[in-house]
Amino acid sequence: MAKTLHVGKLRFPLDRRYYIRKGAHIWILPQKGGTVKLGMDSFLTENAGYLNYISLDKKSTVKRGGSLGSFESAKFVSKLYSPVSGKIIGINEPVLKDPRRINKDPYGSWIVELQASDLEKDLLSPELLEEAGDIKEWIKEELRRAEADE
Amino acid sequence: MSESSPEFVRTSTAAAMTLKYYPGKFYRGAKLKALNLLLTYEPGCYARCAYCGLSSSRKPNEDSFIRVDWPTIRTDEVIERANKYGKGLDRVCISMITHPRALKDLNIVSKRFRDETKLSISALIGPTLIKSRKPLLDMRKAGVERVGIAVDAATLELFEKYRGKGVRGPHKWDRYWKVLGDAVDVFGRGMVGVHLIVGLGETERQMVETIQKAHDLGACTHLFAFYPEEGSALEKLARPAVGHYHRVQLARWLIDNDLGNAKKMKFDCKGQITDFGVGEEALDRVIDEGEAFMTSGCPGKDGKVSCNRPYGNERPSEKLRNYPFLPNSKDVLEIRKHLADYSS
Repeated sequence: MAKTLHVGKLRFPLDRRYYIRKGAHIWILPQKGGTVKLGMDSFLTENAGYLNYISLDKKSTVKRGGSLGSFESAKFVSKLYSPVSGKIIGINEPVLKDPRRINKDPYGSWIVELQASDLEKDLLSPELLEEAGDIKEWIKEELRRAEADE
Repeated sequence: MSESSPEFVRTSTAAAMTLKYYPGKFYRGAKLKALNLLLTYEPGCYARCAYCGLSSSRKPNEDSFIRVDWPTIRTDEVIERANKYGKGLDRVCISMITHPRALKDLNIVSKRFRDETKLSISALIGPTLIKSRKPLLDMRKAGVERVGIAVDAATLELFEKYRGKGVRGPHKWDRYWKVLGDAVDVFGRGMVGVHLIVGLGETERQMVETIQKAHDLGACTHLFAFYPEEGSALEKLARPAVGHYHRVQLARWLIDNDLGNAKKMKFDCKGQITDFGVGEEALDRVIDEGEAFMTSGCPGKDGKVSCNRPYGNERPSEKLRNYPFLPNSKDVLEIRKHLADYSS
């Protein structure tokens, strides 16, 4: 089981990276064979609330920073952004049918699987965090910003 | 033991989020300003309104109301959390349902909020249970500052069809308007809000004339856009077009603020508003200011709407009918486009 960083009630398993582009909060978990799974981190699910819909764009490829689709709860809606470029090779249908699985288990509920086109290069992006210290600083700043908005 | 009022209440999803029972933020930074609470009992509301999520005629296993979940929470805890997390709140609205215990419990819950919080109190009252002025006087004593009456349907025919005889329901049009008049006498002019649902089959003209009627009686009007509740008798009915809704909002704003009168407005053969009966410049100013298109509801201490029900009428991804905040200039452009759309 992966080591996990806890920031308040939020948690961040350290076996994956986190996409810090504004509003993204997507985790990326490399798989064997150059594919990656993507999902929503616990900060995002806390902000979104109980999810009602995940809607994926009708396309087979995505560019780094591009939209994969959107998610929606009773009171919030936003886009899902991809941290890497690649071809969409898998969609987690049970999660799409019942998005509240993501609220229950954000890190066990991947949304799409991509065959990354240049994973090594994309993983070098400063917008992907891996180290516990960096993730902690980032989340603390995000929490400060969210509190200031309240 | 069943979780019933006055020990328990149901809260809207927005209230549950604001009180930190539910996770989540509001899209576009909207903030909830009034807690919406419902009294709750087993087996529920005795009424059978065709459009309502609380109706006893609704299919089992459907538990939403006005589009969202309403979790049941201990009243003690709601009060505690309202004091702890409710710095942006200035009002609570306690809604009766049609149940024999509701009048008594409304006063119990109102007194608790009066004595234990700083929130102003509104009560959404059920005229079917109110047979004299005494219950209204008792509510006022219990701390209720304003009342709302959900007439909902704009015409007698629609009321009968969807709330009265047509659904074998207990509600009567005349009683609703009688209690409304009594409530204005007890609480004062401008202190009673009439809830009206746009899109139950009435024309814009019929809705505007009912808004004028309520205004002439000394009441304000609070608009809702019909939303088909799954499992209700009207689950297949289409929602009112955005343009239809915005035109009614604009007419309501003019009437409620004494800037216009239904008698001076003009309508086409479909009953759609073609002339709001005010000068072009004044109308442009009202549209550009945007407040007419915000959610209508009881006001806060600043005189601005407090009961702003963020995304209560539509999904956050959809075109807004009720803006929970002041529309920005981009929103106003969108509103103008819809106002001019008579295709529905």
